[in-house]
Amino acid sequence: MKIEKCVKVFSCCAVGCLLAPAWVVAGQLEVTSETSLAFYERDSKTDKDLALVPLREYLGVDYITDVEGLSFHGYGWGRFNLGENDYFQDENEGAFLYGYLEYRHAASNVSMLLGRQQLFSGVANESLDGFSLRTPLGTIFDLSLYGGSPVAITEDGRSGDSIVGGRIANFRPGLYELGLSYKLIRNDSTDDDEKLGVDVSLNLPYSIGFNGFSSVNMLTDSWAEHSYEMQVQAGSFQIRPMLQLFQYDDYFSSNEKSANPFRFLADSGEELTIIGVEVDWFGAESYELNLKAKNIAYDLRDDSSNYISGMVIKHLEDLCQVGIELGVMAGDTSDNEYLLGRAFVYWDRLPESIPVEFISSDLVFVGYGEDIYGQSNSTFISLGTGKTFLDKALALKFSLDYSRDPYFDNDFRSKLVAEYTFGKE
Amino acid sequence: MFGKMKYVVGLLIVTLLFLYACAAKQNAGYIFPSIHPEELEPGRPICSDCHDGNDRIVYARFNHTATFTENHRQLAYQYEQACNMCHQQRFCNGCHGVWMEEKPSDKDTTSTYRRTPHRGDYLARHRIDGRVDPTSCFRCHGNPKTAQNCAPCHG
Repeated sequence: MKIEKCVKVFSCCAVGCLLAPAWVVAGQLEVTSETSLAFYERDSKTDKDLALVPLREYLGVDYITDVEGLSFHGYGWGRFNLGENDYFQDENEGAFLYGYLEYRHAASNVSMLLGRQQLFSGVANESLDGFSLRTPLGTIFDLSLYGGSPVAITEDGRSGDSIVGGRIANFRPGLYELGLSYKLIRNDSTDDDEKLGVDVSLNLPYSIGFNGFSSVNMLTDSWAEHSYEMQVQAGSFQIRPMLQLFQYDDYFSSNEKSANPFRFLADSGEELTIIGVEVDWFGAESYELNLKAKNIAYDLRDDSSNYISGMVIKHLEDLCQVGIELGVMAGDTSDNEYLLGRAFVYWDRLPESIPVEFISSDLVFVGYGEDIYGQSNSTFISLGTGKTFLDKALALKFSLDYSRDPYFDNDFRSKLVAEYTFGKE
Repeated sequence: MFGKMKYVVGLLIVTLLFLYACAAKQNAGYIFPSIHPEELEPGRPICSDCHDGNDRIVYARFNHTATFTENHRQLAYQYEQACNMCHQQRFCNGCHGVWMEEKPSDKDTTSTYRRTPHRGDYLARHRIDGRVDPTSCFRCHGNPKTAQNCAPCHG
C-alpha cells in the first residue's frame, strides 16, 4: 500500500516534470524537489527498535507568467514510511505550506499576495490563507496589510477563524525607521490574540545603531515584550548590548486553544528580564570571533541564570571553515546548568581529485549540571558529504549522525538527499 | 491601561495617512529589488562589504555572521522584503513552517556552518533552555499546530 502511494506521488511529480517544458513556453517555471530517505530506529509505546525509513519529498514550484509582475509560488511536503511498521500513524503525512499568486508592480514597489502564505510583519509571524498587500506611501512611508484565515488554528474547523493586521512604517534612509503594527486573530469568532507593536531602527552618529520593538497584548491591556539592542562599531569590533523584558501573563496566552506547554505560564505572573551583550571581532581577515554573555532573571522566582559563550571560526581557502564553540549555562540551581563544547568543519570546493565536492562535520559535547535520566553528558557526531551533477541542477548529499544522550544510548541515523531544480537558469 | 489604545492607534493611522497624502505627489521611496541584483559569492554574505550605511536599511545588520541564525528575528519583522531578495518563503519554512515534521537540524544535516537550531542533544537540553527562557520556545512552538512537536510529552 505504501509503495503504491509512493509510486502515485512520484508518478505525479514525473508527469509534472514531463509536462513542464510545455508550460515553460508560456512563462518561466522552476520546480525544486528535495527527496530524502532517512534510516534510523525508534521505540514506540508497544515496540522497541522499530526500523524507520521515512521517504520525504519537499516540492516547490515557482512560475513566472508572461504577465509582467505576476507569478505563482507553491511549496509543500509529504512523507511515506517504507519501514514495516505504523510508527508514524498518528502524524500528518504531509503539509501544504504555501501556495500564492503574487503580483508585483516593479516601478511603484507595490506587491500583492493571494493564497496561503507565510508572513513576517511587525507583530506578525503567521501563516494565513488570504491576502497581503505591501505598498509605499510616498517616499517616506510603507504600508502592509493582510487578512484571511489563520492556518495554525484548525483543530475544530475554520468557521469563525480570521486574522487581520498590518504595519505602517515611517523612514528616512540612513537615519531611522519607525513602525507601528497590529494583528487580531479570532478563533471560533472569539478574540484569540490581539497585539499592537512598535518597532524602531535608528542609525545614529559614530556608527551606532539602535533597534528594537515593544508589543502590547490588547486582550490583557498590558505590555507583553520589550526587546532592544544597540550596535556599536569600534574598530574591528561590533558590540551589541541588548535588553529584553517579558511579562508572562501578557506574552503567553491562557486561552483554551493555547499550546499546552506554555498555557500554564500565562497565569504565573512571572516577569523575565534578559540583559546581555554580544561582541563580534573581524580583526583578522581569516578569523571570526564571537563572544556572548546573558543574564536571565526572574521576578517572582527571584533567581537567575547566566549564559556565556565564545566561538572562533577560522576561514581557510576553498571556502573551508573550522570552528570551535564553548558555552556555559550557570543557573542558581544545578538543574539549570550545562557546559557545551562544539567543533565543526565545513569544507566546500574540495580538490577535484576527491570524488565529493564538500564535507560537513560536527561534534557537540554537553555536560549537564544535574543528571538527566541518569546521564551526566551527551555526545553528538555528524558527518556529511555531497556532490552536484547536471550543471549543479542536481545535488546528492549523504549524512551519518551518531548520538549518545539521555534519550538515546547509541543512536545512528543516516540520510540520503537528492535536490533537483528544474528550470534553473 | 490600553483600553483606549485602539482609538489612539486609529488616530495615529489617520495622521500617518494624512502625512502620506502630503507626500503622495512625490515618487515612490526606496524600492527593494525583488531579487538581489548581483549573484552573490558562495558562503555567508557580509552585506556591508559592498553596501554603505546610507540606504534605507543598515546593511551591516544583515551581515550573516556566525550567530545570524539566532539574531535575525527583528530584521525579518521590519524588513521581510530585504530577506526576500535572496530567500524564498521555503527557505524560511525550513524552520518557521507551521507544520514541519523534521526539526531544522534534521532537515538540513549537511550545512553545519549554519548552526541550525536544535542540533545534537537538544531534546535533553531543551529541558534546561525551556525552563530558563520559555519565551524563545514560544516564538516557534506557540500555536496549536507548531506545538504538536511538544504534545507527545507535554500533552
